[in-house]
Order: sequence, then C-alpha cells, then structure tokens
Amino acid sequence: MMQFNAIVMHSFREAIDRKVFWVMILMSVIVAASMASVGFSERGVDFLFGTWTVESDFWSLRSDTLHERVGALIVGFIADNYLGKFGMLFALITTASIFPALMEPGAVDVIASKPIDRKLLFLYKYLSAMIFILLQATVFVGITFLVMGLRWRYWPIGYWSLVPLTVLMFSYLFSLCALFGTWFRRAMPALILTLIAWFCIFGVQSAHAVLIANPDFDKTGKWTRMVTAMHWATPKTQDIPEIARRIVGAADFVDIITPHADAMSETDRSDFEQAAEGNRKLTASIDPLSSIASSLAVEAFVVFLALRRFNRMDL
Amino acid sequence: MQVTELTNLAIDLIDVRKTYNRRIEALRGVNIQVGRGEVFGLLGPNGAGKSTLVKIMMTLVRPNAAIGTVLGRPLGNRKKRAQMGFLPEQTRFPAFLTGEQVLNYYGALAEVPRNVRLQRTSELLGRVGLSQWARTRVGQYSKGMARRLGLAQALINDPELLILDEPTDGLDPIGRREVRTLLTELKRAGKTIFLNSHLLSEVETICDRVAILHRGLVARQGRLSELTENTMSYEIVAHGNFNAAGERIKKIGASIDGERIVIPGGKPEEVNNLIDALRAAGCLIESVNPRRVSLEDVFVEIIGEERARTAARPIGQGGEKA
Repeated sequence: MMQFNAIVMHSFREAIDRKVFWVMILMSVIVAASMASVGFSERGVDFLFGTWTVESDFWSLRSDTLHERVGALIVGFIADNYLGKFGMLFALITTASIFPALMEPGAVDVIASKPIDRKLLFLYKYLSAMIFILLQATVFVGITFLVMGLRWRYWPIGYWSLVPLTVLMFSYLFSLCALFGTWFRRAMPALILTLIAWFCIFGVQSAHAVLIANPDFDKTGKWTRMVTAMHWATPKTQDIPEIARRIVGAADFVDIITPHADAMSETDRSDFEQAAEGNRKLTASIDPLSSIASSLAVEAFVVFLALRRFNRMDL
Repeated sequence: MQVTELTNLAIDLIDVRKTYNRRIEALRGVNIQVGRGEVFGLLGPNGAGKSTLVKIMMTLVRPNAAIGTVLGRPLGNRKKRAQMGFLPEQTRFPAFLTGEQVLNYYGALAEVPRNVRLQRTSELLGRVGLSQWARTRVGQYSKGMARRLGLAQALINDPELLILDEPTDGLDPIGRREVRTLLTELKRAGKTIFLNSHLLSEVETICDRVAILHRGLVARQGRLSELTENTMSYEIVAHGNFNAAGERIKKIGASIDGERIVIPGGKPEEVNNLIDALRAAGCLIESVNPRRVSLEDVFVEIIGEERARTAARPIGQGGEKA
C-alpha cells in the first residue's frame, strides 16, 4: 500500500506540474460558468444572466418535461462531446507520457531497482492515470451539478454517474495508450497511435450503427458479420453517452426535436422520422451490461499485452 | 586466475550469460564472488559488459543464463532488493520534485516506514552536502548535485549491499573526495559495496578486491595485492662499473638501463645482496626505490594480453574481426 500511495501521489504531482492539467480545470470552470449564465424562467430561457431572454413555453419553468429535455441536452453536450471527446483528448495528452516517462533511461533504473514487482509497478501507474481522470471528472461534474441545481432547480443524482463513466471510457482508450507507450517508449507516438486507434474504433462503431439503424442490410452478409465481429472486439466508447442518458433519466435527443417536426416540409419530416426511427433502434440495441463487459474484456486483453511486454523487457 | 577463498558471500554469481537481440554477447559466462563487508571493484573497458552485469543483479535486465545468489537469496529475489541500494550510471529524477520529495518517494518505494524515511532524508541530504538544496526542485540541480542525490536515494533504505555504477561521474574533485570518504565510512559500518568505475585510482583507493571484465568474461579477479604482487620491483641508481657484480645481476634477473638497475619481484634480501655486491665492486649507490605497479598498469597489461589472445584466435573461435 505504501508503494501504491507513493506512485499515485507521484503521478498526481507529475500531472499537476503540466500546464494541460490547469487548462483542463480552466475549461471546466468556463463550461460551468457558461452553463450558469443560462437560466429558465416562467417566460422561457434567459441568456447571459438574464440580459437576453428567448420566450418559449417549451423551455419555460411552466413545462412539466423541462428537466427531461434539459437533461438530454446536458448529457448530449457533456457526456458525448465535452467529456467524451474534448475531455478525452486532453486527458490522453496529459497522461500519454506516464509510461514513456517511467521507462526513460535513468528513471526506470532507479524505480525498478526498488523492491516492487514490475507487474504491480505497471498496474499502479495504470491506476494512477485513472485516479487523475477521476479527480478531473469529479471536479467538473461537481461544479456543473451545483450549477444545474442552483440555477435550474434540477438536481439529477444520476448525473454523478458521468464520473465513473468518464473514467471507464478513458480506461478503454488509455489501455491502448499504455500499450503503445510501453512499446515505443515515447509519448508522441503513443498519443498519435491511440488517436488513430480511437478514430478506427469510431469508424467501426459508426458502421455498426448504420447496420442496426438500417433494416435493409442483409444481416447474414460477409460485411455485416465482419463489422459485427469488429464491433464486439473494440471498446464501445460511443455507447457511454447512451448509458449516461439512461442513468440520468434524460429524454432521448430525438424526442426533443420530434414536436418540432410538424413545422417541417413533407420530405424533411419523412427523412427525419426515418432517421429518428433508426436512432431509436440503435439506442434500444445498446445493452449497458454487455457493452461494458465486452469493452472491459478488450481493455483487459490490451492491458495484458502491455503488462507482458513491460514485465519481460530489458530496462 | 588467482582466486581468493571467500566465505559468507554477499554476491555469488556463476556463469552469467546475456545476449542482446540473439547477436550481441554482452556476458559470456561471468563468475564473480563478493564477500560480505567487502568493497569490490568491477573494471573493464567500454563495452565489456559491466553495466549489463550490474543491471542483471538489480533485475533490470534478464540474463539468458545465471546461477547465483545475492545476499543469500536467488538472483532477482524481490524482498532482498529491499536490502540493496543502487545508483545507476545515469539518473534522471522527476524535475518537478524537490530533493526532499525525491528521497521520500524512493524511500516509500523501498518500503521504508514514513518516520524512518523523514529522519533519513534529512540525514542523507546532509551527508551528501545537499541540505540547503533540500527544498529546491531537482530540475535546478547541477549534474554533480543530481549525482549526490542519486547516492542519497541509494542509501535511503540503509542497504546491506550497495551497488554503484560510476558514483563519482560528474563530480568535481572535492565531490569525489567526499564520496570516497562516505564509501569508506560505509565500509567501516560493515556494508558491502559493489563499485563499477572507470576511475582506476578511485578503485585502487577504496576497493579490497577487483574483477577485470573483458568482452563479457572475467579476465582477472582477486585482491589488489594479489593482482599486483608479481609487479613489485626495485630500482637502484648507481654509478661505476657494474661488471664485477654482473653474475649476481644476471642471477636475480635484473636488467640494466644506463645507470639504473631494475630488479623484478619484491624480495628485499635480493636487493640487499645486490647492493653489497655493487658496493664491493666500488660502485656508488645513489638511490634505491621500490616500485609498485599501479592498478592502471595492471589493467592495461591484462586488457592488452586479452586483446592479443583473442586476436590470435582464428575467426569463429572467439577471435576478433578486424
């Protein structure tokens, strides 16, 4: 435990020494402040602390389903975009150097000469990256939760699930970063290869989404089977926002827009309804348990490869 | 090879072999024994395999073959590493930590309890002359200061066995002397020290025994006195005609170079007999000087012999390619 604490504390000091850590904190504050500048009243939505109001029954406090819609917007923006993409990118930039720095000549000789098992050293370092993200996510979710509660009278307890879900999503990607980091011993190749891998994962998941949403595809075809197999064998990063939405109890984004579909032209409405139907099929197809379990299995395999390499290499 | 009888070994390495990338034979069957409480020097030219051997002892490098023990336990035993201190040839400490934090961090990794760690941190920083820099970030340290800090981290767990790879590298003459003094103190305290150094004069000053490594094999191993005992000689400077003492000069195998007579070996009675013979022949003795060949001379001679031997072998039987 003494060694674990030392490594976690060391990794934390290492992280806060980097400017990017403070940039992330600053971004969190800016996002929270931007959210705080928006308010809901009996008339509609207030922007810039009430200097500009857009009147809307739909987005006013008089609407019974306002909080469901706000939840959908927030989860869509925060889980899918801010934490899911922007936050992940910054987190990877911050932590990509953890393993290359550990293996730098002169640094690794001293650490590995101490009475610590190499496998544990690897795992402690891996966990310390998770703890770093846990802190960042907790700070962000904490302040935005307070903003939602105090400004919008919306206290979604399930919103806190974004903390473990963010760490989970980060762990999927960081396992790849750790593998590339131990392989190349340099932060930049590790980061670039992780981003390429993430892009590939995104491609596979998008292809799988098209298959699910489109009933015309031949489910037994060669390409369909291949995409399905690849989808199973990749960490399902894109499922995280949907899992978060269900835990928060927010409405589906499509359902927010649907009431406005009446204002669309006949063709647009037909396209919209078709897309909405596909989206409903896609979200319905996501089973949180199997999504997380299969993703963790993939992550465990990648971590095993990285650990095996780290354990066997001459330092 | 001369072998000193050793009991109670701190390091006992037998047939250590390491080949990198299936091509480069760094170690080709090294046998080294170090007694407890000894200061042992490992010497060798660049590429001899010294650092590889040290890294194998610290489990940083995996040998292809090795039998042996360190502090009585099989090579690579994790728990025994808690009783070992290691200063690698190159140290890179996290620049964002202060000297104090570095020692605290490595102390925790070495499983030193917190209260002991805090006490030893301030004590060691004082011992290596870094007390006033304790709260300065390591990024601002000079190379010599970082080296001193490296030595302090190797001592944080009060190790029984200390393995030092070029400990005085980067230090100024005063720093070197301070490190030598520290090592002498540690020796007096009964610590075993395994020293890997290029500085032969340093090794000669501190070490009890040495091994000379050449191309992955131990070329010579033993006490310093054993390695240099056949290299003791006396030099007599005399004036006059040496012919009358010619027979005695020839008998003891001495050589004449002008007015200098060099008597190989270290037997004072032979020197006295020759002085008597020279004086009887009417020669004037100006000076008599014992000459001990330095470790550097022995090192150069041994490496030279080894190079000549390997070069003489046909290619494919361990001979050197041009």
